[in-house]
Amino acid sequence: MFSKKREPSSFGRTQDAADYNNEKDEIALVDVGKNDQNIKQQDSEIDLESLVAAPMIAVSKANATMLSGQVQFILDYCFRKVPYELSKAENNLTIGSDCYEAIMISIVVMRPNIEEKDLPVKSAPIESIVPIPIISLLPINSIGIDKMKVDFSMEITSISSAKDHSQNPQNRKSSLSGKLGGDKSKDEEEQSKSNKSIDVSVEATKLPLPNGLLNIIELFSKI
Amino acid sequence: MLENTTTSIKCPDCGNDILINAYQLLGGASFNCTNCPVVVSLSTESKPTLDKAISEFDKLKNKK
Repeated sequence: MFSKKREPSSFGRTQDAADYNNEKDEIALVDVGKNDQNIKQQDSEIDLESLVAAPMIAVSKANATMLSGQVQFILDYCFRKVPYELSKAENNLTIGSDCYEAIMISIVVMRPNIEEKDLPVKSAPIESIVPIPIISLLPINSIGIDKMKVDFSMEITSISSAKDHSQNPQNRKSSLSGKLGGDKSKDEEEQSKSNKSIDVSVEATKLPLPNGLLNIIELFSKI
Repeated sequence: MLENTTTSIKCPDCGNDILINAYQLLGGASFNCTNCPVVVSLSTESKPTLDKAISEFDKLKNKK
């Protein structure tokens, strides 16, 4: 399919692959395993900061996604949005934004009839209806990634260090670069199959509820 | 284990904790106060509201 001479483009695709993409107006998939340029690119130097930062960024994005989903659920199903005009009229608000009021459900509270407990015939317990916010019933637990372990082997290819003259002359800038190590095959022809990997393990734990949410639940319990 | 489906509300009489499982509450279970003879259960008219919230909560958990 790609018979022309291949030249690397700035984004790691071969030039003819880009041309093919333009011609056909379709997504062209480049076979990484068979492309020499890509293998060379994989073997190029990587700075240590990028290598460590990439999994950490991914973990923080995952955390943010989980928490934002939880917040959206709380706003959608535990609170009801009251338009500003209505809440202003009801509560004499001066802040120009919509308000949220808690969605309440009713629970039936049954107490024994204490005044007549000594009578031989027991009377029916007293029932009363108590409204409680739905948020106090749902077992909302924030789950967050607590620990992350990044494991890789790296072959150091260059270490550079230079004085930083811009701010403090005593400061030094340093950088460390290298290649990702892997289980390379002894056979020269099979080097393209070398396995370079980073092992990332994450541990999620239950976080305490945010203080704001705890305060809301606490306020409702005092009403 | 990350999942804990029990929450607690304050007893309207004595203020002690009443441990409640929302799933069992929806199924019609009653829960006793740990300190006094008060028993709480879900009212019939609130079942659809709690049912909807719990089903959406389960969807959110399954996404994780």
